[in-house]
Amino acid sequence: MKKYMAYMRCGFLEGCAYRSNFITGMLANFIQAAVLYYVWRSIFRYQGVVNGYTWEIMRKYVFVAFLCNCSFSFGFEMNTAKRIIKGDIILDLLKPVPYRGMLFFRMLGTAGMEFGVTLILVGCLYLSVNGAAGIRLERVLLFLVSLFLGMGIKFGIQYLFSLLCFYTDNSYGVTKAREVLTNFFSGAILPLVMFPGGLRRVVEALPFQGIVFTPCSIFIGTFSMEESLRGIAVQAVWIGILWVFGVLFWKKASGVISLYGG
Amino acid sequence: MYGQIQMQNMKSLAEYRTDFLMMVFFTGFSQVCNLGVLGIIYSNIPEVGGWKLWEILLLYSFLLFSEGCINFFFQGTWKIAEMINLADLDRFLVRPLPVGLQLLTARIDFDGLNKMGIAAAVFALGASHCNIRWSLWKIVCLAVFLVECCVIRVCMIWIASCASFWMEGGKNSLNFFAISIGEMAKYPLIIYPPVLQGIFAYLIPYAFVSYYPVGYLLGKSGMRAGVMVMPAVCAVMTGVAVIVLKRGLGRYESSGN
Repeated sequence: MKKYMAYMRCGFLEGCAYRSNFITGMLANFIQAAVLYYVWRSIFRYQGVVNGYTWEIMRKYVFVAFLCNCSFSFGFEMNTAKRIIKGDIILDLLKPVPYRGMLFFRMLGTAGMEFGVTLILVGCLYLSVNGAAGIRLERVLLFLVSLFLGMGIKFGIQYLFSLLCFYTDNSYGVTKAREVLTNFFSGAILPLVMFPGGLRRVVEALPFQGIVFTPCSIFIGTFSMEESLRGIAVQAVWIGILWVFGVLFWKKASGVISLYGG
Repeated sequence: MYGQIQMQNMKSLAEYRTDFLMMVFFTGFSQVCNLGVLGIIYSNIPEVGGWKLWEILLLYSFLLFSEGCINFFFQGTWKIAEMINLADLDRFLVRPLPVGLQLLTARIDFDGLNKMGIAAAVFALGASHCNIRWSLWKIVCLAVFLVECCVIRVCMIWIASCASFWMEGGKNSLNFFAISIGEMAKYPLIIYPPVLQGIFAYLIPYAFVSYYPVGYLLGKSGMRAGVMVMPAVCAVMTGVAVIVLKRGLGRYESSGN
């Protein structure tokens, strides 16, 4: 455990050192959130309720979704790819720590930094727009649990995508594809209830909703308590499934590494 | 000269064929997702700020087209910041060609062609549902608008990248920021509050990239003035871009090799 703690610290410091990456990503996300905020505002001006969402709910959703999406935003596919191309990955494999565990705790450290920064920004915005009314302690606690599990899912997905880099050098494309896929299906852009029938069922069968939509719905109160708990259970199941896939894929992918020299 | 340099770039790209195919796939995929978002919003409601889905598609296609145009013809603008930091610019300074031309042609990206193709398809789809009364005048307008909006956007990135001349060390993500703001231009300007409009539509002239030209083609009211100003905006942007490069080069101290 101590080893992992060291990695977590390392990740945190890394996050602080490379903050320009994070800030750029956050700005892009923030612009998107702001745009959606105004789009919805103009929609709700002449329509009171859209698919069960009112302007009060939507206003909260936009900000909370932004928070969920921004923490743990830093994809590590690019990094993995670079290490594979340069051959540095062998150094990671030689260490007496499982590769995946190392990645996870490093990312957790970085995520801590990102979450902190975003929370301050979004917290202020959220309070100035919505006020503190309607925030309940038990929901906040459930939200934090769910957010943490959501990070687990996101990690699982990123891990699978990063293993793809063992097969292709095009890490930029892989990262972009993963980003677009998660943004669209996790509810980061639109609440999943807006999706039309067929697509909605597809989305519900995918793990992505656990990243943004589940924690968000718990926090803003569109999920009842029972639904919240079920949502959290689904998240946990997905983490398990992704973990198994990760192990299997890793076995296959690590076999294809061929390194140049020592 | 421009053509010759770009030909060389193309040859170097031909080396990486699978990468190229993957890029085509990923771009197509992310555009489908972006359009999906629009589709989903509109499956719930009839219009945003008085604009229908098909009209929004036109806005979208203008933005995408100019983006593709940058990627394909002028991808070099993206690399300026990097080149300044790594002192790669030195190589360019000693060559007997205008630095501006060399910078513009530093890279080519076929992804852009793909984007332009998608943009054309989206435009055709949108326009076919919009009952625009096409005349020779409108077609000429369309061509002129497309050129103008590409010029404006290239200049935007150019200026943002050149800011690196003044920033000591560190990364410059202003150009990325300039592109991200494009997200705003996907929707009609009138939904934003005046302050944001002032900054993101006029100070950074995104209003002239999509809102005014498309509005004019659709025959919406109040667009004529905006369209008339467009050439002036282009001229100003180009002027600023040239000045920024000159001043920047004057200030440039290589980080040494």
